Amino acid sequence: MNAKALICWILVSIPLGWGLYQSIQKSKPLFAGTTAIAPGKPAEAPKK
Amino acid sequence: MGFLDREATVADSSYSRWQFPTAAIAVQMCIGEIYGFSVFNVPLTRLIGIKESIKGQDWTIPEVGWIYSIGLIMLGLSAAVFGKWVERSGPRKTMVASALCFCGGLWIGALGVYFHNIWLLYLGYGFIGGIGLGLGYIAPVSTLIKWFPDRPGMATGFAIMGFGGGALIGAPLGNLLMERFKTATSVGVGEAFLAMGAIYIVSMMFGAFTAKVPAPGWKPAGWTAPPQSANLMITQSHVSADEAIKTRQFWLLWVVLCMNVSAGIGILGQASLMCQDMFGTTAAVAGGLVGLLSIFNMVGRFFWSSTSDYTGRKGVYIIYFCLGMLLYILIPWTQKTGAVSLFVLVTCIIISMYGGGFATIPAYLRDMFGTYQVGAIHGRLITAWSVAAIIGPVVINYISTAKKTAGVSKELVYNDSIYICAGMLLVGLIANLLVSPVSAKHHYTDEVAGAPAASKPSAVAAKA
Repeated sequence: MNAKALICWILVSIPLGWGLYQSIQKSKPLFAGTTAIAPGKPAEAPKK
Repeated sequence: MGFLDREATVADSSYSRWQFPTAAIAVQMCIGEIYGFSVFNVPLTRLIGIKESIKGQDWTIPEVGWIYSIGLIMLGLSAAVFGKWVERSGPRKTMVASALCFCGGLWIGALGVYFHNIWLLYLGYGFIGGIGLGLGYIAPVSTLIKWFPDRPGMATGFAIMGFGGGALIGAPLGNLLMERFKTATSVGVGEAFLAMGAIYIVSMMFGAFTAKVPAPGWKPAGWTAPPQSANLMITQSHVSADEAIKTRQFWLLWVVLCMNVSAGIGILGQASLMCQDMFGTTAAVAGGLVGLLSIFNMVGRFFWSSTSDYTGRKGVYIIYFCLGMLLYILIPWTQKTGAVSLFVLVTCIIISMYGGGFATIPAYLRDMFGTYQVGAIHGRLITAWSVAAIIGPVVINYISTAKKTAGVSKELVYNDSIYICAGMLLVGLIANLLVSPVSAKHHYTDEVAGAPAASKPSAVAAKA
């Protein structure tokens, strides 16, 4: 891979990295510990 | 010889083949924006009412939804119709045409918003933009395979990964721009279309002018094509696009792609709702799953397609289908036991293989039909995607909605759909197992001598 190719990769990585960051931010609530809300089987979970 | 013609884009010795994947990604990550179209749905229904939709004056969600549908239908049709033109014209001219159609479509769509004329959106974003999608999607495939005859799976994985990445970029970019241009009298969607067209055309033109084709007879340093006897599932012969559709293998692969995509697309579109209905999670948590699935959809394209260089294309599809069936059958069990973490893991792996199916199919086509017109053959196979885009949502959305209406507990409404998806994967597995080398009677002969020199097998692939 030469310098030109490296520059090209950096250029396309910037928007892809930004998109990836946005998706990671969006997926954060999934890991916030709020998913374990069902005390038993979901069908038996109290309705809010 | 025109500046955009294939002959004008033949690479010299200073060009690294590692530049070409960036050209492919630069184009694909723009057209992949179509996956993020849903962020415009609600704003497009509030163009007059601004804060809320005014019945009878503003557009409805079903009316707006047609823009996306027309775009995807045109993607499949244009890929099939223009495939041979793409092969003749080369990647640069095709990428420029794709950029003009896709970005022009966005700008016509902006006019549609300005004049509040839905037909301009159907014509611009849907019809013309959809042609741009189809052209851009198949533009780099053939050339990537020629640049990387030693790693065709990895090469096509790069390009198709870019399309998955486009979904990651398109939705937040659309939201960001609408927020920036929003005023008391505008939801900002028209201005967002204009800005996105301007941003995307820069990226797509960068791709077009970075794209170069290998010189006739070029091959990677130190690499020699394995003898035909080494692996019968990788042909050293060539089949034209017109001849390919007469073969059993083409239609088996069509079924393989259609079943893999049908099963995955239903889950992808309904994952958020499934998570809420099956586990009672909040909308924010379920939205988080959608974000995670987008990442796995993108990464899976590169990972699985690259893996196929080692396992063989048939082998990797056996993994998609067998592992996929097992995982689908596990989903109702995760609901029964309340194992939400396992549900998340299972759906992430399923979606990674859904993306992998898209990315691996061009290399599979190359193995079956050779490099001559592989882009055009890929274009025709993309019609399987269009059909899957109808089958997948029908299986998941309509069946689950019908069961909800019938009074079935919402935790259980997806079970039948999920088992149907597993059945579709079984059909795909059988089709994949039936794939065998293409008969020699379909191979390239002199009757295609009228094809342009640069795309003839003897010129581009004999040494590769």
